[in-house]
Amino acid sequence: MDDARRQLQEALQNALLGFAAAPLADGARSVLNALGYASDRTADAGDVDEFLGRYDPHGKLTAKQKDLFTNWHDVELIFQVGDEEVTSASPGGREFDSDRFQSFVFIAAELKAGTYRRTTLAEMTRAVNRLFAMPVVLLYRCGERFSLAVIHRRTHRRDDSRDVLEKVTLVKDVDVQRPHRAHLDALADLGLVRLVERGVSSFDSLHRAWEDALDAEELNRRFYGELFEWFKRALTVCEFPDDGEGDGSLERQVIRLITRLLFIWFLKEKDLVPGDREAVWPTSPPIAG
Amino acid sequence: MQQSAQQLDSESPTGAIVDNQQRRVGDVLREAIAPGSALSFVSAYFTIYAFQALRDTLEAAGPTRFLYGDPQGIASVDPADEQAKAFGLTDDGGIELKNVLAQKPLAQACAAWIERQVAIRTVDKANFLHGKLYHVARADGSSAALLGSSNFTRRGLGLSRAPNIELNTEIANADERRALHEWFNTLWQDEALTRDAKKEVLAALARLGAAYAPEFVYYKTLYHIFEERLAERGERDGLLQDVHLYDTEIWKKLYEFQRHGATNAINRLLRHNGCIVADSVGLGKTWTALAVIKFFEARNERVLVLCPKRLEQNWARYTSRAAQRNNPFDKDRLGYTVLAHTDLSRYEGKSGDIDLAQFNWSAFDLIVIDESHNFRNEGRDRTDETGAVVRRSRYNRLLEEAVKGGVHSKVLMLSATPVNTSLRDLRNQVYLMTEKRQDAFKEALGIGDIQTMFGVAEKQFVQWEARRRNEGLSKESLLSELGADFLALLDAVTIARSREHIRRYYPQVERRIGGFPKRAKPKNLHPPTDSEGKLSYDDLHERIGDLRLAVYMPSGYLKDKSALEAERKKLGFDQSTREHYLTAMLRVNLLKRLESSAHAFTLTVGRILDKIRDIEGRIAAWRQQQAGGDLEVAVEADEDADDEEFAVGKARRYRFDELDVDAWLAHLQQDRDVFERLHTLASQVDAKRDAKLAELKRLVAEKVRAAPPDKDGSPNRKVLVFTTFADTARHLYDNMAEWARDELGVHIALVTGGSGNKATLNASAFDDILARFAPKAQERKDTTDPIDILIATDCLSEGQNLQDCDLTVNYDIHWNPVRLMQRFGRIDRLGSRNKQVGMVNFWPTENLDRYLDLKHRVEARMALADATATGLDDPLVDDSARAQQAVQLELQFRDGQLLRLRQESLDIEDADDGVSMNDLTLDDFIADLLNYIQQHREALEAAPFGIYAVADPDRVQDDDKQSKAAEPGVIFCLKQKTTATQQTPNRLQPHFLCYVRNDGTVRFTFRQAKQTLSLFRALASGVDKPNTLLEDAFSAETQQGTNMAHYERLLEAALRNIARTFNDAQQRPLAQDRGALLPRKSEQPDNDADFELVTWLVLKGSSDDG
Repeated sequence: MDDARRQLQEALQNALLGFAAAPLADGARSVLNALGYASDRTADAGDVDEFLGRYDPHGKLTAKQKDLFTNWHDVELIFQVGDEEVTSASPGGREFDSDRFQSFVFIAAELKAGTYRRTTLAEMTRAVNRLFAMPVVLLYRCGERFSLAVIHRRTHRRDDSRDVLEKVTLVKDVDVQRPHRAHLDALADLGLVRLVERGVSSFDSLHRAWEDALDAEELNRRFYGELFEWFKRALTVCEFPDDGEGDGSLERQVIRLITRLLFIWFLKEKDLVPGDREAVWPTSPPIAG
Repeated sequence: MQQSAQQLDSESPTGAIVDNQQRRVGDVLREAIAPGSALSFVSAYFTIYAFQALRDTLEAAGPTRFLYGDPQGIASVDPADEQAKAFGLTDDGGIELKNVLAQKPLAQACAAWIERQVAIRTVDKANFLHGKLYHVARADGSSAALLGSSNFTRRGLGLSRAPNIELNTEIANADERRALHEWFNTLWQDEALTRDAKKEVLAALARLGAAYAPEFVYYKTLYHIFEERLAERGERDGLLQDVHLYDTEIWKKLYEFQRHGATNAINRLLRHNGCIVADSVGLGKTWTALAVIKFFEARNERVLVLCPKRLEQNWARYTSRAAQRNNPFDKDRLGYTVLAHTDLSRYEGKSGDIDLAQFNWSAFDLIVIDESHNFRNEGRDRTDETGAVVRRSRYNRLLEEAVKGGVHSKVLMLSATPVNTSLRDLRNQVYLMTEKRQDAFKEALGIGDIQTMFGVAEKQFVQWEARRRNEGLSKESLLSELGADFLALLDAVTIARSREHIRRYYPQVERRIGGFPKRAKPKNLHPPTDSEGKLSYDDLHERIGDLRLAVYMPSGYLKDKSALEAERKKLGFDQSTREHYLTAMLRVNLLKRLESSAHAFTLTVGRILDKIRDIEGRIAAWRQQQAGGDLEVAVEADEDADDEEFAVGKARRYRFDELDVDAWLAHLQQDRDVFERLHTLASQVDAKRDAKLAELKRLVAEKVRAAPPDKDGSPNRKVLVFTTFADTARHLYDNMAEWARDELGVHIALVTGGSGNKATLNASAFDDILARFAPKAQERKDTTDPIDILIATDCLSEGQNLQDCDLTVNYDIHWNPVRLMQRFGRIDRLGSRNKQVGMVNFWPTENLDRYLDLKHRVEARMALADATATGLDDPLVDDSARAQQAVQLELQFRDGQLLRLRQESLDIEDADDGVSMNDLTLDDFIADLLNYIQQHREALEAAPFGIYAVADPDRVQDDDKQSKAAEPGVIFCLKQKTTATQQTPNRLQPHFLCYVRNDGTVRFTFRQAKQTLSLFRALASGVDKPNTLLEDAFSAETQQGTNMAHYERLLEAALRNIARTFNDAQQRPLAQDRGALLPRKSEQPDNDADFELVTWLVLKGSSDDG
């Protein structure tokens, strides 16, 4: 992990720490700022009813979709990031190409206490995006949990002034006090500077990059990739005592080690170990890149 | 007092420094100045608000000398204006906006103080004296002095919300104070360095303290709102002078409003590459355009005029090439090229003397499109099997070859009705000027994407229409629904003025040439078609649906329908759909022909019979030979039917062996039987039985005999008869010519377009006939032998000046009311010498509801067919419900218009139910301002910000619809200090208008600027003196300005409303426009420190006790 990335993760972790206690807009803004997104294009969204009244004056949403918003306690339009904003935030001040999308809107929602299923958050994201003409990224806060969602929009086949909403990708239930390593990883991948360095040069490609970063498949692929790297390194440094059974090559033994570690990690994640977690588990997960 | 002086001398807790943080200059001065003290101040600024803060102290002091240290360009060109600025009497960043409300009484008090005890001098050179000094010489001989950086403003004195950090020191040493005093005295007395300025300051204060007339405040408001446009106007003036436009014949001939129109058009063309002149019918758009053309020709630019075929002569006659003896603009040597719209479909042959095969469409710098609504649809290119374009639509050829090709052409469009059914019409015309670039107005108007913007506006419009029908919204309410970007675009590229506009703002035109004639109430007649009653319109109504018209429906007899299905899949409609619509239109046409005349109907039925017999014959021949016969089903629209409405895709070829010929033959025969009966019946109605003809003759005879005198006392015998169909026109002429000449002793003529023109004297040229019928309007004083009766098709209904005549007859009703208004517009024109003009309508049946019902039913299908067949870019497949709704709305509108037409003669832009472009633009107010500014520019410039007037709301109750709108309250005009860098929801950016009623509710938000301005005008226009009664009442209510609490609350309410409305409106585009961007926080008006108060108008009823 390079320095820049480590710094980004630290900044992100700090922002998340403050997220739960801060007013919704401030908390969300500092998380986004940590990722390199900032803009003073903002507006007062009003309360949830006002928000719906403004953005859905003609009842575009179905009753079922409207119903989702009863779970919303509050809503904030954090800001809209347009061309000028990314230009000033990205290294070298490179301008974004003019493409289908010309901005992102970031909206934060405070959810009423409770647990929300993935599909519920996805449906909320879909409902909000139905009301906007440009991509809306949703930040959800529910107690100490933070979720972030983005939806795939493609052009309507016959009417290119319209979008069709497709799959929602999201990072769900990030624990703001103790963010999961994989969550931090995924979020750090959204950092604007990094994406621009990797050749993102328009809001369309930025949108794709966001979807990729949050996509579970992509996450899995990367996880196993990293695991494999670790495995290869382990082969060069690990030695195992001979247990007398003589049944294995080094490879086999490392694999066994990994599966055991994974199992223990699973136990930990599922809170299956009683007692003081901190006493049993050291702070950082065993697999490091 | 002695003691406090001692304190100053010795006991300053923080030493001698006064920086407005620990100690404030104002407090120090208050302490130091004892009653009767002589004061000597040096400062670059003096504001009434600083005076206000220290008022008691200053008034109690003795003689005061104030020396301005910086006269800021005092010797400028325009002394009045610069003085106000230089003395900066109100230029105090340290005050809250609401303090400005008390500016007037404060200025008066300040003036009284200066008058009484203050001497004012100023240094003469800028930057000559930087130091600031406050010297106090008390009556008891002691003194105090403060030296440093503080100006005599609230900020400088440290008495504002955000005081400056200053650096001043109190001078503790008496000798030093004495030295400073002497230094001051030396400067004060030096006539070479300083001069007396008391008079100027008092004059500036008088402007601040004056009572203003509502009218003045109204114009002051307009003056600032349209400041930028005025500046543009100045630049443009120079350009016009450069090419000597003012010396041309055409310019001399124009009325003032036409000159304004022309200069505005030139400006828009230079700035935005295009302009749509949408003045209403009869305002002389052609001549206005000629002046524009002259301007560009004088700059060596090449001009092409594209007009409907029938208006070609109208345009060509002004060119020097035509060498017409009576060309009024011969000296101007106009050199433009004239072609017809239809020439865009031609690739060879000649148009006039132009060889189209060799013609270079790309060679023009300016393209003038007359009747540009003909390009409201893009049309569809013709393609071959591979999809390659074989032949472009007229629209696309115009766009690709003429506009885009070669040099980038500017486009001037002329049309009284640029919008026919939807805003898409307008969009397509706007595309012509932007070369269809969607971001063409990004820089100038902040419109990211033109297509999206129009899409959004159209949606808003349709939604508003629906709501208006249900909730009865006013026409004005549309303005607050539409986006500011759309309105800004209209303001930038269109000119749309109504007759009412001319009447109101150019009264001199009315005086000079008598203006517009009065309109008589229309006469409605219902003569039967057949005096014996055997052939009746109502009967045909009943039975029209029974006609199968199989001859036009071969697709119904296809043995294998799979090809149709494939086509339907691909396009959403197929050949059978086309044929279906086609037959629907033919039914309509039959009805329209019968409505027109039995004669025209007979001919049509005859043509259909011929067609049926022809097909029957060919089928028989094919059967005998069993050869593969091809059949093309092509239905020719009637020669003078409006070709746009009859365009239904292209014909398909069938082979007989594809068809179930037996079934077809059977149906053909059924049709033939019916048509043969109809033909017999109709052909028996000859001229003798023709009751409509008889009625027309009676009408004409009556008019010729009565011959009402015009304004000059000459008798007017003229009648202009319009009919939709050339067949009817010929029938009328043939049956009236001899009768008119022999019995009435007048000449009669026929104009049908093409070569069918005739007259009862030796004149068959189109021009000649028109010149004889309307010699004055056509500027042909040399003609003899006048023609008094003119029978014409709609080839004459656009663009011609025929106002010598004072009566039109609609022998049949065109279903598009716009057409009827255009017909009437030929005689209802500016410059008519007739006292009144009239219109007679021949309706086919007395039962109008039934007439409309039928018309409605068939027409709905027609319009849909039209939309499908011409392939608009919004595929119907997707949205047919919406399209149908739009069509229904349009038809209801048309019905309403036709119904009203029975009662009154309509203006196109008139009518509560229709929205026209001049309902949306602000041209009215600009014209108003331009008139006023000629006499009053200096006064407007000199008047300071923050002035107000008191107006009587009861004034608008009698004659204005807005009676309810004018309730006691205030109209504020505020100016945002930061200039927004993009389009915001505020059309008048950076100015905000807000009308708050006394109870704090906002009647008009800044989004309703046009309503507010209309109300403002209604309240103020003509009130050119302050209303002393109301001023006194206001003064009493506010205790001479010392208690402004009520008005402060209203101002706060206005500011809150602005912030809220803005916040809401800035967000709405996010839901509709992909490219929408929120304004930056710093550019959003959400804080009273963001504003200056430009003007305010207090609405105070005489019965209102506050």
